Amino acid sequence: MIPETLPCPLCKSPIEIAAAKWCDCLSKKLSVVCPRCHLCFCKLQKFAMEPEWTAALRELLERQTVEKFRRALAASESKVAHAQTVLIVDDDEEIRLIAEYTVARMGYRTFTASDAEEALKMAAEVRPDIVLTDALMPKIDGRELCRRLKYLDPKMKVVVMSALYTSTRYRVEAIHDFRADEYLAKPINFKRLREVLEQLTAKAA
Amino acid sequence: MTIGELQERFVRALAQRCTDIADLIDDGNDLERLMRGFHSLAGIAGTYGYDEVTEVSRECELCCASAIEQARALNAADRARLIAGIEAIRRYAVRSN
Repeated sequence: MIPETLPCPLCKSPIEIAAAKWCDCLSKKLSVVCPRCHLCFCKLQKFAMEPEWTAALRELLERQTVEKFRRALAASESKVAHAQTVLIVDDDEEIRLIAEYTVARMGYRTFTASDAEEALKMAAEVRPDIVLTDALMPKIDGRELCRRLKYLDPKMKVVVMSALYTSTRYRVEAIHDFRADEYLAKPINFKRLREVLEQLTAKAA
Repeated sequence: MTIGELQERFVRALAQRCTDIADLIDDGNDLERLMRGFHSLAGIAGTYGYDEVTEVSRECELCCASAIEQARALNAADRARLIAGIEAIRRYAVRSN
């Protein structure tokens, strides 16, 4: 138990323990400044620290550290909980890696799938906000995946990526025929990818 | 993993990708897979800024796409073109490593 007040080691006037704060004068440690003589406890190595003060400050430090950790954890959990989820689908591991790296750094929660079948299972489970899929994949291609994802959840945003040589034809097909929300040409332009994700995120909000 | 490490990983694996694609050209039976091999290479190389690799891969991808659209096997000219392409990429990989 921390007492409410303890006497200042220098002037002996009572100091409220609750007034302890992170000292910004020297050591950035948890400390207390006496309101009367302005002694900052971080300089107390010059003085004999009384045992009750040592115990009180240690307990206070533990409490504040725990509190600080809790706040950081809550902030982080809240951030993750509100982050939009992006499912990246590509049969090429290198592309999955670089796309995941980049999208995660943009602040999205990411999942990856190496083909359309895996993507459909994952989409049913995690219900991503946005699916970023390659166009050309074995078995089920990106356009068909897009159609099935929209059937699964019409609100799910789907971005189809394809190489430039088919861009015009594919863009028309992907967006109009298969109801993809956006089309991205490969190689991936990450600035454009960010814009697209932000636009889709804003639409979903 | 950093972006630099991802890039290094891609360059290190490039020679193996070339070998895998060269095997598919030799085999000649799975044109779709061969096209996807070039397609992936074009996409990822360009993402890392290796435009030369992307350009060659894309030409090879088009060559495969053309054979698929015409529902025919690779002919001698196609094979020569694809082998030249993959050799150019292999040389690029050796230079970059």
